[in-house]
Amino acid sequence: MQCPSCVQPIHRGAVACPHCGFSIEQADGNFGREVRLRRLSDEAGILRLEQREIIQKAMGDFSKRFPQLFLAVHTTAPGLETDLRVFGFWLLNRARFDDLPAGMDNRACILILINPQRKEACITHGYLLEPYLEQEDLHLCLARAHGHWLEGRHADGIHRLFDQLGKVLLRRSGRSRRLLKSLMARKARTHDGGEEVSL
Amino acid sequence: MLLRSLMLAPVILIAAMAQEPAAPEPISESLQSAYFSKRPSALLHDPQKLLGKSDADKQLEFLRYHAGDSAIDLQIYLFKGDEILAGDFDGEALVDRQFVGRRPAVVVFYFLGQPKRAQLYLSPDLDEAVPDARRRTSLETSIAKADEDPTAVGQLEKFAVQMTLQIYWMEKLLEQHRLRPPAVVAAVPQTPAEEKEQRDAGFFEAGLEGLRRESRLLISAAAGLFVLLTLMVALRWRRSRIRFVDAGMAARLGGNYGAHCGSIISFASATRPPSRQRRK
Repeated sequence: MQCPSCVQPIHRGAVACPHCGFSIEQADGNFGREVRLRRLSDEAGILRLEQREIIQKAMGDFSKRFPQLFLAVHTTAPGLETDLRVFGFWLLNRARFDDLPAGMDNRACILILINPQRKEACITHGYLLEPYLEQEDLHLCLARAHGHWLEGRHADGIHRLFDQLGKVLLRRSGRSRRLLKSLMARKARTHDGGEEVSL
Repeated sequence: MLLRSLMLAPVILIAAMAQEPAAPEPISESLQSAYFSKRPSALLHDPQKLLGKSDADKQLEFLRYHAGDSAIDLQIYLFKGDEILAGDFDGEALVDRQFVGRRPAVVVFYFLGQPKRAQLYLSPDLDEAVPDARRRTSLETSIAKADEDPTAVGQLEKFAVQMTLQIYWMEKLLEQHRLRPPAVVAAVPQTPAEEKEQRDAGFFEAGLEGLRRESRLLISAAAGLFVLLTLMVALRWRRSRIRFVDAGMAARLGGNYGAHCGSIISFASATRPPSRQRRK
């Protein structure tokens, strides 16, 4: 576990980063307490209408395949100079997605940020996927889109990223089954009077 | 008046004699040898050179063309219109002798200018397959066609063409005859034990064939079922929903929904590929 601001290792229950002192309150100071937007928000204006429709459809297909999860894509408005990781951390925790189905929250979110001005992209996710996705997995998803973004084909890059993400999640779903078995085994031990061990 | 009749009588007699056709002549022994000593090498056998060279070449070319197109040859022996074969001549025996073990053949003894006198024989294997009625019809039809032409050469041509058409039907009969299983003819009466053994062998073969047929059906059905199951599994997999167990991760840095540092990549320059940004 690493701090989004300084990328230094932190304890899993840390309230603030022991290295740089970063926390959500610091991010709130920069960006505000709350923001309302749609899951696909193109503030940079880099996507054409038909491209947005196609990306939205791809996001819907993704949610059908992975019903617990949802994708959110945000292109940042010009002038955002902050580290995209920090912004992503804040957006993930403070954004209210108007088109999010009832019963879902941002713990199941996979957020993709694109800053076309600084030519940077970031991917982050909520706590639900934290046991399953490695840093390497996220980097691979971005790497697949890199070539398209390099040539200014942002929509194509997003599609490519979605594809790679789907493959990664499919691979990692096995881990979920093993985790379930482990939890059930631990629950059984607890029920039998054994020591309860938290994850 | 009487004197006049008597004076005219020889003239009338000579005229009458001139109108009567000449009596047919049997072919000489030397010619018989030329015709029948061995099987002809060419499909048009004309030792007497009754056809001119161009007519003969044309006719031969037609017969060769037919032979290339059919499983049955048309062999023509050409005689003069007024020739007769020796009284003891047996055309059937000749054909049986000389046309056995080779390609099936329709053998015609054709009398130039006298198509009605044509004789038709079949090689032994063809003889078994073609009934007499078909043989007669073939000959009669060919003769009728030949009669349409006033010239001897034209008659021969028409006869040959019509005969090749008739040979097409003989070919069908030959094919059917060859496909028919041979009749089992016991050379000697079989003992009851031998009969039973033959019957059992027949049953065994029939049973084996039935088994083979059934196993082919089973294999086809199994293959079809396998394909269907594979398709269903693939479709199910495609439609399957993938879920993740919520491990109940503790909140960090005050973020209620997530605190992962994520991954970041720059696409500003091709000189910085993703592999060089891995540790970022």
